[in-house]
Amino acid sequence: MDTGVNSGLKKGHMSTAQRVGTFVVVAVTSLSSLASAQTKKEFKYTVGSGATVTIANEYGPVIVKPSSNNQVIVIATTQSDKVEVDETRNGDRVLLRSHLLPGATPTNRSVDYQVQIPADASLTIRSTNGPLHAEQLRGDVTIEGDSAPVDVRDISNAHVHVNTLNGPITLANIRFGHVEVNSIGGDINLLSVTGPLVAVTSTTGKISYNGDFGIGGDYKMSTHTGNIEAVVPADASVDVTARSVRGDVENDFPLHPKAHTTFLPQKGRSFVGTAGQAASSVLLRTFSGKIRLKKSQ
Amino acid sequence: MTCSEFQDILPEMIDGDAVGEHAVHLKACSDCSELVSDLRAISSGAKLLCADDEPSPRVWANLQRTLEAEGLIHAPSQAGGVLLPSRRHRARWVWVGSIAAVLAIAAGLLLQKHESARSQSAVNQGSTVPAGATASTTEDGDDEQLLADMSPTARSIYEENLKSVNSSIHDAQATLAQDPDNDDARLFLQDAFHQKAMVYELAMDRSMQ
Repeated sequence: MDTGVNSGLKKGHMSTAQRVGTFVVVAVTSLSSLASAQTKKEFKYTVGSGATVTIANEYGPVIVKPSSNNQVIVIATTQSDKVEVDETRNGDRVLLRSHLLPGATPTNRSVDYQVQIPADASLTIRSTNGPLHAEQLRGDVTIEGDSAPVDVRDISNAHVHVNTLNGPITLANIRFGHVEVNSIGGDINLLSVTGPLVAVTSTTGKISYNGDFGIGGDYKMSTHTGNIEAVVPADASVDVTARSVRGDVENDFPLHPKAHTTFLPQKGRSFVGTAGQAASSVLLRTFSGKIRLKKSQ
Repeated sequence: MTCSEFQDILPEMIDGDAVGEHAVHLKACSDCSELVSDLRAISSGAKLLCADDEPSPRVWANLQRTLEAEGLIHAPSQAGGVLLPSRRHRARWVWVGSIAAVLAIAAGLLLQKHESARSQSAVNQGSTVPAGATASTTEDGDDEQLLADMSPTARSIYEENLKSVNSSIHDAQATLAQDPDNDDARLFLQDAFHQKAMVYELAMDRSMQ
């Protein structure tokens, strides 16, 4: 026999089940309509050596990898029909640009670009929110993003220029690079990045370097209020200057004192010294952050 | 005809041919002839520049539809009317580029001043003026104009980052005001201007998109 309480519970369960069922139907319908609104478009171009490829995506990711031949292959998936992709091809210059249409909103305006380019092509990519990723290239790489996370890896013999507002930046395995990185608030993480010039500037972000500073390079890392941490192997060949105007400096790396310095080191605020043949020059500067130089384990 | 009289009709001369006594003067006077030639070169260069920067009519049509949909403008009464950007609006992004350039130049000047201060520090102690002091006086107005056309989301990101970079400029300026020979503070001020120029450049690139 059904008690009033059981009956009420039963009714309650039925109602919950119905609500869940309705939700599932609505969710599936929404997802399928969203999926149907997505459009995948493929663009293919055959280009010569040293081509230039630019992808300007207002919202959404751009992932770039090397192609196995002299082709640029772009697969662009638009989130809805409120955004389209414009293409321009002039000789060996290829430009693809996302173009918002009336009715575009934060939920339907992004485009996902999966790109393959010849390894020696020059690449420029831009997105407000990203993420932005480029790997295994030998041509120059220029990346701009507002809050977009940026990840660049396995690049050699090329210029790598990255600018973000507060998007975090990771560079890994960059060899013989001319590297210039700027961010206002994004943390900057460099892993095995070497080259004749590595210049990193931030306003409030943290800068981390893990690597051996190569041979014969000029490394400048500067952040206004952020901290700098460099982790270096014991066999690194460096000439280090570290200065903080108002913050502290800390050194756990064995350095030989220098006979001549351009300034008088102030304990706790700055240090100078060399290791090995002092092949690379390393300048670490912060206005009010902290600098730490460590020996890697 | 004197050069002064000739220069009164210079504007007509740029796009047209000289006639009568003007033509005679133009032929005879090398100064005026050179001036007209330069002005014509600038004029044709400027026309090319405008053509390069002008987005396609489709862009303006889309912009018009968006603004109409948002109720910010009303459809023109004439059929087939297409919204064209006002000169003022187009000028805005040219202006943003100029500000970025000015900031970069300010940073460059700081470096130059820094180099010069280093070489003369022994004889010049106490006389160095923090060069960034004047450059920052217009920053709030410039920043407001930069942010004015942005969507709320973008505005919030740019506002936050401008705040950080302005704070770093003030920070370095304050230190320089106390210690004008502080080379480190001067270099940080230079970096801060470079960073601010980068924010303006990113905003400009974004607007071009």
